[in-house]
Amino acid sequence: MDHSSEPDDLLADTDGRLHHRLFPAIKSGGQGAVYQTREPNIGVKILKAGERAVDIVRSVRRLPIEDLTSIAAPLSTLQDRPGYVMVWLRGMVPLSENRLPPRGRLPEIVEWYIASGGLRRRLALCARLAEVIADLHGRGLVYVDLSLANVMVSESGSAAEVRLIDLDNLRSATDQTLSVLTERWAAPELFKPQPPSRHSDAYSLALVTFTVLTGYHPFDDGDLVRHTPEDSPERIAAARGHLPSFIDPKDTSNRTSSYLFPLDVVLTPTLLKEFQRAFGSGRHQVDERPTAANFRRILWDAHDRTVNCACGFTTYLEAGSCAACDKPFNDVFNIEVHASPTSPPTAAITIGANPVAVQRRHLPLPVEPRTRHDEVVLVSIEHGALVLDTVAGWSCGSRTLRHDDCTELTNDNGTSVTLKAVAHAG
Amino acid sequence: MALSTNLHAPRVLPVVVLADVSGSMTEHAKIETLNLAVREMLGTLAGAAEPDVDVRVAVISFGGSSARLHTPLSEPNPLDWTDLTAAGGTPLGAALDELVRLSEDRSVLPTNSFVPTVLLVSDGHPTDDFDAALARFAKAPIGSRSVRLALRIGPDANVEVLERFTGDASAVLTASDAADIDKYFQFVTYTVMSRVKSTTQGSTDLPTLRQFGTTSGPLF
Repeated sequence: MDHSSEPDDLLADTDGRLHHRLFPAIKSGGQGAVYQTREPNIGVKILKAGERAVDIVRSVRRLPIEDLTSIAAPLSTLQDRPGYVMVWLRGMVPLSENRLPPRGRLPEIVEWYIASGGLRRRLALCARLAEVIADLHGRGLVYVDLSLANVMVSESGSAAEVRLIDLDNLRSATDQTLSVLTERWAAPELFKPQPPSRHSDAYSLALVTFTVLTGYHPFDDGDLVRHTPEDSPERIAAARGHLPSFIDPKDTSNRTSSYLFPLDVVLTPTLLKEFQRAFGSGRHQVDERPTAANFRRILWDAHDRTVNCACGFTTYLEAGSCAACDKPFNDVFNIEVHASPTSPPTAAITIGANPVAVQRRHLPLPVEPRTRHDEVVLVSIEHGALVLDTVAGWSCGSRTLRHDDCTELTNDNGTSVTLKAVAHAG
Repeated sequence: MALSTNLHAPRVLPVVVLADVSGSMTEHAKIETLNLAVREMLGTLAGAAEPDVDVRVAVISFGGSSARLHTPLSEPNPLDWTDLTAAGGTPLGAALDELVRLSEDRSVLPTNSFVPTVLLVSDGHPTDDFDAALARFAKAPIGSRSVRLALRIGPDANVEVLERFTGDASAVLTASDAADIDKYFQFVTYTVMSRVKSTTQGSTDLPTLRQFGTTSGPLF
C-alpha cells in the first residue's frame, strides 16, 4: 500500500501548529470542504483555488460575533494552501442526520424517531437554530448560506445544542454584493441574481426547519419534481420559485404521496400556516416570509405544546392522545399566571400528560427576553398532580399543586406572581 | 390518531466499473489487485447509507472476444463478489455497447436516478471496433450524462483511447503498479460517497483528485 498522500494530511497553520485532518470531509461544497482533525476541538476548511483564506478570516473577524458561542469561528489560516482552522465541537453531527430514517417498517421508524429525540428535540433544534439566525440578524448580519450541512447539532438524542459552521459568507446586512448559493436551500431571488439578505436567510431557515420536522424538502420532494433527474427543468423551476410546494393549499400540482408521519403529527396548525406563507406568497414577496425571530417564537411555542408519552413518542397536546400508542392524555391542567392573587391572569398555558408520562413545560413568567427556556420555571405532571421545579432566578424549589391550588413565586428582582392550577375542561 | 408512514422510494446512484480482463491483466498480479480493490469499494459503498439514496454498483468485464455484465446493477455487497479472471483480447467496444444497454434499462435505472459514475480500468488497446462503439456511446444519453473516469494500467497503454472515452484528459490516470489501482479505487469510492452526502446538502460539487491527494508531484 502506498502511503504517499499521508504527509499531506498534516496541515500547518500560520501560528505554526500542525493539524491532522480526517477523511472523508464532513461537507464539501462550492467553496471547499470542511474536515474534522485529530484534535478534539479543531476543524479545518480547505478552500478551492481562488478563494482567499486571509480575506475570509479577516472579514469574519471584523464582524461583531466574538461573544457568539453558537458559531464556529475561524482561528487562523493555513500555510501552503488556502484554508483556515476553526473551533470544532466533537460529538456534533450535521443536522441532516436527523432527517429521515433508514428504510424500515413503521415500528422501526418510530423507534428510530424516538432514539433521535422525537418531535420534541427536533423542535428544540429548529428553535435554537432560529435563535442563532435571529441573533445574527439582530446584530445587523446575514448568514447567507444556511443549509442542512452547515448546521451541526449534538450527536446525542437528548442534547439540543446547535452550532453554525462555515462562516465564509457571513456579512453585514448592508453588503449589496452577490454571493455563492447552495441549490435546494437558497431563496429564489438569489438566482436572479440578487444579493443575500435577512429575507433570504429567513427563507432558507424555513426550508431547513420544514425539512427537519417533516423529513422532506417542500419543493424537491413533491411528486412533480422528485421523479425527475438532476438539473431537470422541474428542479430548476422549483429552485427559482416557479413551482408550488407540496403543502400549497391551492395549487396541488406538486403534492407528494410520501411522508414520514402525517403533517398534523409533526406540525402545529400555526407552523403549517407559516410554512405555507413562506413557501407560497413568500417565494416572491420577501416580506411575506416569517422572520427568524418569528420562527423562534412559533417553534418554541410548538415545542412547549408537546407531550412526552411513556412510550417515548412526542405528540402535540391538542391531539388528545399519543400518536404512536394511542394512550390518552388524561391529566390536563390549565396554569394561569397572575400578577397578584386577585388580578386577572396575564398568561395561561395548558399542559397534559398520560398517566405515566411526565411532561415538562416552561411557564410564561414575566421575564424578558424570553430566549432561554431553561432559565424559567419548569412544570410537569406526575401522578395526577402538577409539579413546579427548579429555576434560576425564581424562588421555587419543588412544589406540588392539585386542581384549584395556587402558589406564589418570587424572583431575584422582587417580582412575584401567583400561579393557579385549574382543571382543564377539554 | 393513528400513526402512519409512507417513505419515498430512494433514488438510485449508479456506479459502473468497466473492467479490462484481457490476458495482460494476468501480469504483476494486476487482476488480483483489481479484484481486491473492487471488493473493498463494495464494502465501503455498502456503508455509505443516506436514507433516500440507493448506491448501486454494476461491473462489466471485457476480455477474450466479448464483454459481459459480470455483476448486474445491484446493492454493493462485498460478499457477493466473484473474482474476475483474465484472458484473451480487449473488446472495449463491446464493453461500451454493454454500458449503453445497461444505462437504458429503465427497470434497473429509473429516470430520476443520479448521473452515473463510470470507471474504466484498462491496460491495453481495443481489439474490436472501438470507434464505432464510441460513436454509439456518445449518442446515447449516458455518453453525455455521466461522470467518466479512467485508470490506465501499464506503461504501454493507449492513453488516447481512454481520453476519448472520458472526454477529459485530466480524468485519465496512470497506474504504474498494482498499488495504484487500489488507491484510485479509494478515490472513486470517496467521490461517490461525497455525492451521496451532497444529495441532502444540495451541492453537486465533487472532490477533486487534488483535494484528495497531494498538492505537488504526481498523484500516484
